[in-house]
Amino acid sequence: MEAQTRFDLNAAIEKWRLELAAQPNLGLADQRELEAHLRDTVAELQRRGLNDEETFWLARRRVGQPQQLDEEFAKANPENVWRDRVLWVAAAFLAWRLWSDISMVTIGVTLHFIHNAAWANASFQLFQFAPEWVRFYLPPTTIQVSRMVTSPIVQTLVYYAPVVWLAVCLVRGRAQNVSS
Amino acid sequence: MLAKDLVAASSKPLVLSILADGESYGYEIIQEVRELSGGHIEWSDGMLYPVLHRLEREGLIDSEWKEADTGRERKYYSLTSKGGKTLAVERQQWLKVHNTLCKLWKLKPVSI
Repeated sequence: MEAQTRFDLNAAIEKWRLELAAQPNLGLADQRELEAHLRDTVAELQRRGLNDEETFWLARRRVGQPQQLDEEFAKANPENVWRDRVLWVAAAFLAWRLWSDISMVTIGVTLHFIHNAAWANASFQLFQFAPEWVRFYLPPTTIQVSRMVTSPIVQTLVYYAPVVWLAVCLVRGRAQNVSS
Repeated sequence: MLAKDLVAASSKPLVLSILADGESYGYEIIQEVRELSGGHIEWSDGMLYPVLHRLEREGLIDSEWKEADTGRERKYYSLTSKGGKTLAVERQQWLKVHNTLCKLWKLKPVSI
């Protein structure tokens, strides 16, 4: 009994072509050229006596994964690479602006709550007259917390956190490239 | 197998030299390089087309879609006159490197 469905070579190539079309750096002419290449490879493998399915998968592997092809073509088109870079820089700038606004609002709201919390004032008054060494062992009071939050150093750190994070990522990426 | 940077550097003179013998298309160029190098230069298929497109942008080669004997269309590449001149310069430079190494390794240099 023949339960297996017949492999449709043309449909498989058509599907592969759609995968190529989904890649951002492969133009219509590139896709057409790569398809001609795949079909040439298929024809050669068929001459060697392989069946349609084996032929297709082997040819597909030889020509390369659509994503891999896209990367190779992107490298050869510097203008596309630059377009992507400009877009990334713009996106990063907007994200940073958004972050800085959010962090400023967050700090403002936090301060408002700290200043208005009754327990904060109470605990501050309670230990206000305690000797210095007693206060030393107490957890940082809310006053200190509020002072910390409002200190320009902390604010600057929060403000530039994404930039620092990005720099750390870049340095680590570079270190990995060097080591590999 | 040849080192990656050598494969990249030699792709230009190889493509131009193959096209100097007449027009050809991507698949055939890869086959020819594989055969001539005795399998030592193995180009990935995805690598060649960006090289061909770059050479075309530089005006060293031309391309044209044509119907092949199989009835399907293929993009054929041919050498331009500018490409011919570039090939002559490339040839000189590669042979200079070759001859310098030959002298160091006590092999017979070729005439440029």
